Amino acid sequence: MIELKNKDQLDIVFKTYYKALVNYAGNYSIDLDEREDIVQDIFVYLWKQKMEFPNHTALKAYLYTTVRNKCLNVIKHNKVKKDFEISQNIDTEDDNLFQKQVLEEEITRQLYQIINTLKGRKREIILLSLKGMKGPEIAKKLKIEAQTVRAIKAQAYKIIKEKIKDLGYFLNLLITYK
Amino acid sequence: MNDIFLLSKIFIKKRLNLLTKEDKRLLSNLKKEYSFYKSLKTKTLLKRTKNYSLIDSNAAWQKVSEKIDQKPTILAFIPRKNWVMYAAASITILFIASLFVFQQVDFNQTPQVSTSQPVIPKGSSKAVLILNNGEEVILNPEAGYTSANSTSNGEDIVYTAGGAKDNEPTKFNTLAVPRGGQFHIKLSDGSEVWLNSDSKIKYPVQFSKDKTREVELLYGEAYLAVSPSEENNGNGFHVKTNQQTVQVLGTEFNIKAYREEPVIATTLVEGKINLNLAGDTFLLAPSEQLSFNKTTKETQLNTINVYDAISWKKGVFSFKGDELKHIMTIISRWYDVDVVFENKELENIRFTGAFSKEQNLEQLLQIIKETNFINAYEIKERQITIK
Repeated sequence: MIELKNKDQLDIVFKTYYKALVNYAGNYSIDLDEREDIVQDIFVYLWKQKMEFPNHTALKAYLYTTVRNKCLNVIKHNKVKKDFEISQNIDTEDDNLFQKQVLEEEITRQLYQIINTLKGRKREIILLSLKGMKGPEIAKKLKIEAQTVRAIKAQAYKIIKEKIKDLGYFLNLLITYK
Repeated sequence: MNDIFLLSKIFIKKRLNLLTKEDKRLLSNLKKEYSFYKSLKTKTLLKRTKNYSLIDSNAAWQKVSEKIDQKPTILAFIPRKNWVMYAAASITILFIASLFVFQQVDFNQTPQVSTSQPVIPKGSSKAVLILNNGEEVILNPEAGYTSANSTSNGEDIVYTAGGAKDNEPTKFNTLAVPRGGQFHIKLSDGSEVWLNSDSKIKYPVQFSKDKTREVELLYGEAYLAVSPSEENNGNGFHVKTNQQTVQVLGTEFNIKAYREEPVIATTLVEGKINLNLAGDTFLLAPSEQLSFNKTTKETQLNTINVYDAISWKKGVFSFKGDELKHIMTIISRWYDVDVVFENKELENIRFTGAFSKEQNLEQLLQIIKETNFINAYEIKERQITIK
């Protein structure tokens, strides 16, 4: 059970999802300031309502769904106000698109988290291997031994796995999904 | 939505060569269902992470933190009893469940509701017991009842164990639960019946020793946990409902047979039941639901998520992609209100999620409104208008 009535907990959840939610809202062509306001308001609301969620999936689903609904509202409102055509048809926008966009955002968010856990060579090598490069190619590109690449990669994995475990412990991020 | 989050994790694990066998199996299944997975490009996604650097979450947290530390200008109402509430929403076809729990709600958050209105109370335990001689007894937590063979504390009624005497004609009791009510019965054979709002059931005060046990759900919704035949001289148990009879051998199931609904739905939770319907017999396995359309006489057997069908008994109403009209019907029974849709199109919006029966009506409507699919609601007397 996640209780959002403890400010530290709210802080953790906020720091985990804020950037992703603001970036996700970018799918609706709303400017950055307004997107930030939308997401901040949602967290203030969460707090005021003293919400509890049975697990992080529920919380995360709630966050994305709410951001989406608020954005759709803003678009509708803007359309009336400025009477300008929007490219997306709000009424027919399907769940498929929503799911795809959430998937992209969730991957982006986790990539960002992983990259930011690592420094220097570890970060460089993991970035390259995420891009699909194999060990020898990386070695060639960075002008180091293939063996060194392997060793650094192993260290980086260890950190990532640790990170995954830690986050999982706090936020069920990468381990559980039910 | 779970699948989407799961896919995102698998995507990352795959890039890091951390996939387990289980992950691989899941991935091949999920890939088929979510065809867009294939179109994802790691490079594009890595580029997207650059946007994150433009967003300052620390500064944002400062702002949020200041806002939540502000004292509310008007005092909130006294917190109500804890209540669970799941709710969720999405557009038209949706399967995004957001499940959350409130403990306290600031009434100042509900601008659409005039607080001068008296609060519509949630449903509670109440029923009218109709005795064999036609006499009516009102049961509620303030009004219990005791007779030679039954006791009620106003929340449930328990019949004394033991069979009827051979030479005596069977006596019947009928229990009617009004809108806004619920009730629990323990029959003389130990079988238990949970009755939902607006439901009525007739049963013998004591079952005959050598006859099939038989009860009749006159209308409404009942969850039955039937005491096994082995403990009742091998006597089976029948539940008659208007056009169908359920034959039971000791099991748990739910029958929903509201007068105003076109369909009778029988859901088996565990055990086995035989369902006789207009000459046909259906054998139900656990998690199966048989729907019978009273008008067209069509039957349909589906495997369903049992929880949604029986959660009402556990104090929760849960829905999976149900139309708002249907959800509002259930709400109208529990809170004993009428519901009017000003815009008929809203009737067909589908929702997934659940709410606690402990929660008050305004909070619930506010949650539905928060999804932005309805613009407003209005409560006047006992009528809700959805706009």
